[in-house]
Amino acid sequence: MTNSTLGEFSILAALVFCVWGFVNSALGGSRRDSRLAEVGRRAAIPTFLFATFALIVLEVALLTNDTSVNYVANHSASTSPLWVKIVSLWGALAGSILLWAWLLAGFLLLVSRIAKNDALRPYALATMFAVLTFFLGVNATVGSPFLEVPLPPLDGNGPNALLQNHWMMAVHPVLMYIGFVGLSVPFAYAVAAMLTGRLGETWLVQTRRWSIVAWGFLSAAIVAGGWWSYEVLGWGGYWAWDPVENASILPWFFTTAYLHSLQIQERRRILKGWNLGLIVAAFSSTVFGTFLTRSGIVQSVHSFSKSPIGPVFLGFFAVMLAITLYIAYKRLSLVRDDHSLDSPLSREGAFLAGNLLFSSFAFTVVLGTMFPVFYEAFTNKTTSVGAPFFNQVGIPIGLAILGLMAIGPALTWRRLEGVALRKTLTVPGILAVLTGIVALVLGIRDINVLFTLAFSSLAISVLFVVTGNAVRQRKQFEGGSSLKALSDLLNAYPRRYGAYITHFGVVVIAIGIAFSGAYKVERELAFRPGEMKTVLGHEVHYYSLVGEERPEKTIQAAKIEVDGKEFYPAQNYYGTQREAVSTPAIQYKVSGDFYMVLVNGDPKDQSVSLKFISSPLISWIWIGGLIVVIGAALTLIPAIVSEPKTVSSNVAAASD
Amino acid sequence: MNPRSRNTWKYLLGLVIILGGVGFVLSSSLNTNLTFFITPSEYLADTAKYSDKTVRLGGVVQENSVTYNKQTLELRFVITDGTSKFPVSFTGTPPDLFKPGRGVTVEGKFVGSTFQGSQLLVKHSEEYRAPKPGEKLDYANITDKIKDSR
Repeated sequence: MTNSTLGEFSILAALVFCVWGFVNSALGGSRRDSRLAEVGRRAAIPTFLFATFALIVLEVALLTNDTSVNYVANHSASTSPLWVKIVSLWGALAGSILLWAWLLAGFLLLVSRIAKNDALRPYALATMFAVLTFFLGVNATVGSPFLEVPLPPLDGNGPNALLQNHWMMAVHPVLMYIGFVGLSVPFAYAVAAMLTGRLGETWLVQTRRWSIVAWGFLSAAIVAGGWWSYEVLGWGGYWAWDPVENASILPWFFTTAYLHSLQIQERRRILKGWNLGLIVAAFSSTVFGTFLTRSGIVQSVHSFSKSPIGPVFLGFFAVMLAITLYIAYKRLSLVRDDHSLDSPLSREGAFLAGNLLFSSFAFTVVLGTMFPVFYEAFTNKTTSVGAPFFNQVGIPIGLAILGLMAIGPALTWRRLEGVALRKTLTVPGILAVLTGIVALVLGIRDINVLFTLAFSSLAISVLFVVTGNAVRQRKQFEGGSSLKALSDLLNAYPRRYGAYITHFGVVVIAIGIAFSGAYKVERELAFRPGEMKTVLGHEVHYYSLVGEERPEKTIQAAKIEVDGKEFYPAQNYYGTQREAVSTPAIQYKVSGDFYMVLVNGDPKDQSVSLKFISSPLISWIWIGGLIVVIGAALTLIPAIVSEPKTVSSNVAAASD
Repeated sequence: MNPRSRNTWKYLLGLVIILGGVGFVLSSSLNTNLTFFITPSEYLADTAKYSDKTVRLGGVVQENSVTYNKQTLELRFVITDGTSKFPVSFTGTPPDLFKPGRGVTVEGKFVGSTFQGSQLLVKHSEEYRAPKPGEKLDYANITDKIKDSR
């Protein structure tokens, strides 16, 4: 059997078991028949096995350069290094949908094994089976990677040059897809909660960890994507408000809002409808984003090409939204909250304001991305909405979110007496103002940077004050040293302190974004061989062009010496692609990077033009991203020490 | 007023402030940051509308109009859509695909009658072939193609 037939067969087999699983789970749930539900649950095993088999077949075809498989013929080449061949699996559309389907099948299997056997489970599994049916269906029809090529070419067209130019491409898409797929679990439980009418906080608590895991992967993927863009695209930035980037940030906004507001429901049993809405928005935005970027409706550096997959995703998005809204409408009476919110100056009030800001940010991103499409439809004029729009709207919203995040931990649930709040916020408030003044004296005039610094100082000092208060309280009740009290607290409330660490990571990122955005400087200069120039405070000495031929690419690099160290900013030419992919050389420093790009090199007279970018504190973004993910991971650790019996109002204030 | 309705009122106020603020920033910045794609003729037809705005000017690089100083990185050329044309000045290295007779999109502003470019975009198009001597360029077709490089 050829790889094509084998692959198509495995996808079909997975699809059959998937539909079987859906039917049995759905019937098992609605008829309260545990036998049927069990049959449905077990269908996750063969579904996953056949999906895995399909993945292996495609991987084998890629590694053996079997060009009779259309995906290999179009997106791989025998000359590529091994790792490129392996990651080519998700280097193009059909393959990445197969990876998505496989991950989803894996999550489905995991849920079917470890989820609690309750009334929600059959419905949740049925929902996941339904989503997986769509993805496998795409792989079996319009997005098949396994179509047979009648006359196989000698070699494939090779992968996209941008993708094989950096190893990060092996990591970033996988992280992103795990994040996307992870969101399907809380989404499925939300649907199950609506179908069963069990809209209490059970489904939220059951899927909290899944949501945090998904969020952690999304965060990691976004930061990794930014770093990839920085390392490969040669413009010294990391975020261009490109439609694909926008599509990836949407689920992140909704999930972040959801992770905060689910705590309101856990604590106060309100905002049921809002939480359902957020998680549905988060999951459906992953599908909407795929439609947006794969349909050719908006232009993007990332879009592979126009394909029928775009409209199919739009259809799925519409159907999914319609069904979810219909179920929600049916359950409207149950969604209503039992009681209403107390004072706005409370933890839940801050969460709510944050939710609004995150949702507004998401709306802004959708508007900016889609506006040219609508504008052209109505006026027939081609327009574009660029980075200035997103920055103008996004920076104030981002700063407001940072400010809220800073004071959030100081607020208590329900309400806070003005005195207590003043007590917690006095020192941090003074420190924040001082930070602003010191920055001003040191010559920082950019208003956004000043606000970022003030809010960052506020956020960090609030975290210290709140933790300090908790340590003091604990010592009072339990005795022992401060250090023991602190470690007890860390063990007892990993969720709270994990969140604090994540907040700290966000502060680090915010500072990185603010400084690298406001104080980035760029120079483009021409050099003759042997010439030496001072660029942005660095001694740059250009020697000559150097070249290297590899099977898959030709490298042309400029040998330069910067501050006594050699660097080789290069341009790579990949086999079949005519345009060069520049590979910048970067001098990484915590205080700021010096970024060197070879824009053009003339082999005849060895003259080059080089672009230099100095971005202060830009690496704080990557460091902060790492801290954010570590914090998120810590929140997953189960609490070790049982909570102390005496909980005074101040301890509750600092609790998650 | 009982405490509950007082709180509702506070929440509504907060909602109005946040959404109103976001809405205001949104509408004002969308107005100023919408970049139009125009051809030289479209600019001539409605100069007042585009004169002080950042636009994307699309057209064809006119033959024999390109001068480039490798040391100062000053690039000058004439952009045309067959009927109207404007001189363009740009500082930076032109991309490999930048050639006379090819479509180009320049983002920038008009300063007098010269277009001061800040960004040069050349669409990577597989279908491009050099025109035969004496062959007329199909301007409309080229402009249509580069329009998509938004």
